[in-house]
Amino acid sequence: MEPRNATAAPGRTAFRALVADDSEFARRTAGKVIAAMGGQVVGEATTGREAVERYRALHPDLVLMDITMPEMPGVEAVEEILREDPSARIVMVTSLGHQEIVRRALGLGARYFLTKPLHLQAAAEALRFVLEAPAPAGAGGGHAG
Amino acid sequence: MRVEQVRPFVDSARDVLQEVVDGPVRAGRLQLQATPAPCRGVAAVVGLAGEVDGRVILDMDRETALRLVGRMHGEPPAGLTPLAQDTLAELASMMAGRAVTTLHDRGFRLEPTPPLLVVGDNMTMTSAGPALEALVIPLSTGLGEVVVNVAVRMA
Repeated sequence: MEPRNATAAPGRTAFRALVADDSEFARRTAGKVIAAMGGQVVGEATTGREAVERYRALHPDLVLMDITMPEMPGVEAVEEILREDPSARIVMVTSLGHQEIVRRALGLGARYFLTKPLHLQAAAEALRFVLEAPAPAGAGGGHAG
Repeated sequence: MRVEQVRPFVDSARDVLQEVVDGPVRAGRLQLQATPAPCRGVAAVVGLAGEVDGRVILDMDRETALRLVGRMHGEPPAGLTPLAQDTLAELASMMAGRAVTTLHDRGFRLEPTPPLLVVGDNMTMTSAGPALEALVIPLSTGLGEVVVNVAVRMA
């Protein structure tokens, strides 16, 4: 895995991201935010199940996870990923700002949530914050997979 | 149909369109319309199920739809491609999501269905079951007019 903060460009951070959303438009929008930050989308998923599988295979630095996806809802994918890798940095992205679901995801260990439509600057600031924040206590230091 | 259940959809449609268009959105005259509802050519439909059920439609002509997609992507689309249709469906999903959140905050439990995009000429939309009266409001944007058509009732 490439180390974070590897680029020299100010305000840009090298990182690898997985984007999980059943909407191609939403994945592209997230990809633009990640690219603008200097990151790279290393994988995409269109279902929660696929997100878990892609996470296991890719071990990205960051996951952008939609809440409503077919097969397995995003929040269940969050639970499964964090069970295997408590240090996973997962940001929920949703057009459904359902407080209960968001609270559940954050309670499980998701680091932040963003509401669609994503605004490049605000989303980038939030993702940068998540990438730079230390892992919460008890999250461990590495990947389990 | 209660105004407190309908208003969040109109407000969220206006807010989301304002963000997407990055310009002012003016609401036109509000009307009640019996179903079946005529459609202008491109309709993004989100169903609602729960304590409040019904549906909300974002209705627009093809040119407006293409301009909206072009603005959302930063480049004009090559027609109503699958990506363009996905983009319009996502627009409807964002709008419905915000409205549902507002209704949740007011104590109503409901969920939106995945958005459905319908494209065609001379279409009408009919609700299954008892006829629903819809509240219709045109939203005028710099990219064309989008009509918000909301029909809800207590389940």
